[in-house]
Amino acid sequence: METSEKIERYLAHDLSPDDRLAFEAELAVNPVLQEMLGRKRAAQAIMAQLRHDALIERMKQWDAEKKRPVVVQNASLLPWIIVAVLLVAVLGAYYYFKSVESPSPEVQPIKNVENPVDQAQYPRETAPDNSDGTQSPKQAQDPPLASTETALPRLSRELLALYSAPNSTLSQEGVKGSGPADDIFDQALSNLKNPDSAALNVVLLSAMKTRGDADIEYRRQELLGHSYILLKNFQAAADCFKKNSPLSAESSWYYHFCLAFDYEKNKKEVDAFITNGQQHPYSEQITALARILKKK
Amino acid sequence: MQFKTWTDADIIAAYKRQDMEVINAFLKHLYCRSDWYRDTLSYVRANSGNEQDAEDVFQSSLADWDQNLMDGKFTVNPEKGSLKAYFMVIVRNKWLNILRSRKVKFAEIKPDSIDVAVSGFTNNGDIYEVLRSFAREILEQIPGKHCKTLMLLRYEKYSWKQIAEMVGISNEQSARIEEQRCRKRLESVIEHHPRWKIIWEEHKEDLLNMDRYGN
Repeated sequence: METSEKIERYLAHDLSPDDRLAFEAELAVNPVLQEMLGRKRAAQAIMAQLRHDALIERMKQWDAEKKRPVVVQNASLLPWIIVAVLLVAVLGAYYYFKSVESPSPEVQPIKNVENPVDQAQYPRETAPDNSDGTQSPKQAQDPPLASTETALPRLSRELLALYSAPNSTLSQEGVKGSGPADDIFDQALSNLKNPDSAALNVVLLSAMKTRGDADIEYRRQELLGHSYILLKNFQAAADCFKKNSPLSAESSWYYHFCLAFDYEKNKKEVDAFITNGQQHPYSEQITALARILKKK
Repeated sequence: MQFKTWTDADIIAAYKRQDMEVINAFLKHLYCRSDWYRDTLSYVRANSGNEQDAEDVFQSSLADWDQNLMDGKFTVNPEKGSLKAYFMVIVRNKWLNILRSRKVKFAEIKPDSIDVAVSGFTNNGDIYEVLRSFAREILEQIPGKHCKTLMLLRYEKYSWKQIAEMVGISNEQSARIEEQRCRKRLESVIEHHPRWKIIWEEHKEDLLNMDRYGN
């Protein structure tokens, strides 16, 4: 057997026990053989690298086949989306006829957006059935909803103006993605200020909670956070954004933004955030926040 | 081929016997399967990345994961970690390196948010890294695709008949001779490469003692 072949068979554990022992005995005393073995191992590493590169190329081909089951995920949400659309239509009709019958005071559409079982706000037949008392731990953890209708201090008014400013990420609908969690989030967020969104978001939030995976839960907390901002319950909003751990750039901005509404109490944390905000993707908003707080 | 009932031990066994047909099919399955990619996406997104970042990290992590298994750097210990956990460790390390290179300071990265309980990772990573870096250098010096394709197919344990058909060589014997010629040329490139002497001097013991799957 040629030496080169013997080395290859040794590396492939293809030698008989006796031949292997004999080879190892020779290897121990033969520096030329040692270096040949070393070169063979280096050659193997090169083969492995070839495979690594080839695998990356193959993945590009698999990408082209588009078999990644995002579609499946969307499909699992499809029934909920259909239900949402139908409910919006039914509720739209309900509110329309109600307003025709008796002009009502201004609707507070996003009140109780998380808890759909609000008999004063929604007709019984549209509320998801929680009558069996089975609530997930996450439901129990969500802070109680409360709308602050009293006159806001100047700081809060200025911060809310920043929140609604045309260049804010909220008005740009945040960081768009293509996953199902993003789709549902973008849809809900863009409709947040629309009167119909109360009904839509009740269903969407329920759907997200039912779905329950980490990605959806992440977006659900963000959506809840935005809802609480619009309800002017800033502490509850901050709690929602903080639940997303580790914080994304987006959540970290909104969390500290919400803390700023109670600047006296949260001064240390907000100031630290502003100080380190130069590298933050939301640095523009952070600068505006700093400007508002400086006036105070 | 049905993979849902496969265990980690089955996959490791396929790598151990270098059953490339099974391994390649399994990798394709993994690549197209949602939860590995989705977990990568969730992790990258939660740490200041976007979907494109996740795609890149996922691809290169899967290729590294495959290479580490080929190198026998993972053995099964069901009590301590799974192949998926091992994959997520690679994802995490890769993404943290990217973040460091981007000098991201704002994100509150919590590396421990991934279950990193993985065993069987033989940590003589130095020699593997040295060889990988050397391999990349050598591959740049080998012109043309013909030899690379031949050597890759042989490495992936295709039969000479299959190789001849795939590369368009008239018969098995010619494919074998052609591949051996390419490998001799490769070994000659290694031998005369200025870095080889340094690697050999510095890592001689590792090179002589490293062995696949601890055999």
